[in-house]
Amino acid sequence: MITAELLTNLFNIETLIGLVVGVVGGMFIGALPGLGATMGIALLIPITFGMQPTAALIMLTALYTSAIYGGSITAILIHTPGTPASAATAMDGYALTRQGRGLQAVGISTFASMTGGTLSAVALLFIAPPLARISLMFNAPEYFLIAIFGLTIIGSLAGDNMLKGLIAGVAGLCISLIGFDITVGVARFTYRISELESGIQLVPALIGLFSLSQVLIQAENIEAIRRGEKTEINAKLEGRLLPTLKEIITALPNLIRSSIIGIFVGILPGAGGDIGGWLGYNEAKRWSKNKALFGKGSPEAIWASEAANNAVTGGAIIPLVTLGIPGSSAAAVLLGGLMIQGLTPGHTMFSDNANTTYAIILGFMFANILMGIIGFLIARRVAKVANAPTGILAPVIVVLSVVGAYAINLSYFDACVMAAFGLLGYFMRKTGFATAPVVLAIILGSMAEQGFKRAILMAKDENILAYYFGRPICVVLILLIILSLAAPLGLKALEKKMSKTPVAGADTDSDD
Amino acid sequence: MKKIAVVCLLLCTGVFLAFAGGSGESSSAAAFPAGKPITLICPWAPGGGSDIGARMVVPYMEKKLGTTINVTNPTGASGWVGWERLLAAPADGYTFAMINLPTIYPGYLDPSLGRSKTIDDFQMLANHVTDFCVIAIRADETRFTDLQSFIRYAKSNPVTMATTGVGTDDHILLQLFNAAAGTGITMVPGNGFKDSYAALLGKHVDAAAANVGEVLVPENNKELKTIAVFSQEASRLMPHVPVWNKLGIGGDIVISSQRAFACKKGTPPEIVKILAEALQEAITNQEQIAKMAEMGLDVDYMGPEDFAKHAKNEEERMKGMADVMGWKK
Amino acid sequence: MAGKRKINNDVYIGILLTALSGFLFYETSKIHPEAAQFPKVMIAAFIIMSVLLVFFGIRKTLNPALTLKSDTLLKFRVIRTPLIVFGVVVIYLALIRFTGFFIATFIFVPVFMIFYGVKSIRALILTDVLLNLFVYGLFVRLLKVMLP
Repeated sequence: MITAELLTNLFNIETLIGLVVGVVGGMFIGALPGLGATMGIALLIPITFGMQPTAALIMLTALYTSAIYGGSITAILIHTPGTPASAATAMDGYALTRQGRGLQAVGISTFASMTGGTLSAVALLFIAPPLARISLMFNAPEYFLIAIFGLTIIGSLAGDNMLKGLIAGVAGLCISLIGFDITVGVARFTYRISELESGIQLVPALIGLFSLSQVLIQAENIEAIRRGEKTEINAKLEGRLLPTLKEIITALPNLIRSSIIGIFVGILPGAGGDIGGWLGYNEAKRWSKNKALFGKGSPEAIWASEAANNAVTGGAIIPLVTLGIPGSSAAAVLLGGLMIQGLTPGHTMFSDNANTTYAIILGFMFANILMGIIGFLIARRVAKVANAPTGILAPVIVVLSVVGAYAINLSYFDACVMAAFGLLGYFMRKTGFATAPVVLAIILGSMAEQGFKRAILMAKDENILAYYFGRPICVVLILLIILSLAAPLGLKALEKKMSKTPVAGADTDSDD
Repeated sequence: MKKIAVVCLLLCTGVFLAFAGGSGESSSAAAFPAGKPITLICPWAPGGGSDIGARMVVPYMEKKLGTTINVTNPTGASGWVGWERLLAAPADGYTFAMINLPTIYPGYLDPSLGRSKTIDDFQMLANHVTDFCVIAIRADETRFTDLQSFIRYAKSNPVTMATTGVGTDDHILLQLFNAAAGTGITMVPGNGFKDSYAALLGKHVDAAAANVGEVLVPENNKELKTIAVFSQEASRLMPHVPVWNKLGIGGDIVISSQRAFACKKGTPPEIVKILAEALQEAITNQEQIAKMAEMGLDVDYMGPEDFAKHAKNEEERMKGMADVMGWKK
Repeated sequence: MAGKRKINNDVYIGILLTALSGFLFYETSKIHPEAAQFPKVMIAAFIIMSVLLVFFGIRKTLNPALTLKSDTLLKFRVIRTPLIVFGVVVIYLALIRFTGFFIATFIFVPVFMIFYGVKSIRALILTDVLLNLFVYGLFVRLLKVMLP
């Protein structure tokens, strides 16, 4: 497998430059609101036209994983997820920052992202073909159930008011309805506005709900800001960056589980990449001995969501190179990058082009490690940015949010959507509605509906229930959903009997 | 103050990166475009098939016109967000767009969308790619192995066929096919070929309607077998696939997905001519044709008048499918 | 807050949401029946939950002990400034439409900063100029994104 040609492909100047540009550029692009991995790759593709295949693809894949990592930095420090995948980190990450432990959170995120990404690269290197075959076994019926499973996560994000959390979720589902219907092709709730025909875009809504609403919440303290007082975020940002060996070992089961979850989400094309972080978070909470801390600043949450969302990257590349089916939207753009370089997915990648392909995979693995190293080196300096006076930070965030929301589709409408969701997010947080369920529901809404409708078509004349139960994977998923719902209810009943621990989740004290 | 310094430092780094990567512009002596950059609107995601195709012709056009062409990708509304942008821009030739048939038609033929612009608002410049529709099955499928056995099977068993979406050429193909072959195949629409491919490979559907460009690679990978192509003559890129029209099973069906270029109607004729000629040179360039063929795309140049006529014919055909598509006022 | 019993916010919110979801449900009747299935189910759930919200809100009004902290955060004095900030953001967006992105940003940034009490002229200018340069350099030149 390791040939001389492979090594020359990998260790030449152009490739190494591509690697560094990808990692650093990715972190940067990921951190900016609005620009995410998908957009970053898309915008860099024209640059790859003149590059060598290995260098080009290593740059793009490095950018992919690094952007997902970069998104978490801003998510943690200023409650502004730079990419949708990092949204799950924002809650607990920012809570930690408010407690003065932001640096620690960034350190955890760096280590977790690095581990998740590298593990997924290992999977890509060694077990890609069997994983790809597994991914083919999942289709519409399974995706519907996965979406339902994802929706059950809303329960754990709801904060102190479960009903409001659910309402937020349903509202998100309704928002996901706007646009074209998949099976009939009719427009729903578009009111003759062109931009609505493709629905409310996720990223502008995300930026609005998380970033802009945060700016608005901070504005409540205008008196203190004007006096130049430091609010508690700015207070102390010192502390350990690197997790201690003990912490790493304790987190190891969490890391491995979350990485596996991430890889799995990655290989399933219909699951998209963005729910990886949420699923990792949810499972970490389920198995944690410290559930109450989730949502209020639990390091476990960061280990989980960051490992998972970076593990998605390698996972998404697996069906891409083996079958030509991208596992996430960013991977779909990578497909374009591959095609331009004359690399066609499938058998040829592992036979004729083996040297190039393996060089790319190894380069991707190195990228993850490099990302971790660079992350640790610059984290302290970057964290200081969050310490900048609110008077400077707030307008910068607003401007970048507007640009980010606009830049995705060159759409002024999207920028307005962002603003609208900013206001909505603010009022939601003031009235006890958690905002995370909305995001999750927007992502999962169309997945659920499409899965359901297409499953009915695929079942042909068979009764839909019989069809579902005839598919082993579906049965397993149904059991998981039932368990997932039943267990916490049972545990909660137990808890109530034993103590009066409050349930964790959304901002219960958002009057900063 | 120190914090401001840090923020500035980061911003400066960004600016530095930016200027390190800036591109140059060339000047020209021609009247149009006189060195001013031209915008090409490709209303599909960057890196996708249409986008790559559009970017393929850009370098050749740039050379001929002596200016830069910037490709922008405003996506949404099945292309109409981009097309509306073209129609909102001034008709001075500095903006043109890639248009896709038959994708463009439902956007205005569907009355519920309330769109007033139609194909008549576009000034055709050239057709680039004609990607004919095909029907494909799994290479290891045992229940049927060719078109005839497929039709036989479909007549006595429920069959599902994946398509790349509602209102696409695949959808139209299936409607026409069912009518011509006397079958009642159920459509399972997805969001593009990757959905169809995944569904077919995973044995969740029985067949897939797609295009030559999409099935070429899977067929070479021995994952799929193409059992029919819906063109007039055998496909240049897949010559072994039987042509429906030549099999005599049912009426003629010729259907494809086409990518072409157009600007806003009302653009001065001299400018139209310059753009059309530049496109002609780019599209008929042998090197470019070879590169497109590598990606499985068949370049099929059509000039402005020919293509405009063709587009109107296609529009008629689409109008005839209003019932099937569920368009009602 | 002593003396007169305050109606829990949830009641108002619940009523608002019920009205909204009811309207949406009516809207689904205009959609092609097959495409309307899913929306109808969703919106029906929405209506039911909104009504429940009103119900629980009434319960909390009658029994103040049940009020959660998150119910009490919406006070006018608290939200006044954020609303002003939002207004400024809206004006900024509108300005972008009319004067283009860079001019609008150029004007908006110092306004915002002054509002937040930044006194140093140097900081105002530096931030304004650098931010604009940064966005220009990154988005327009490097990434070729056309800003309005």
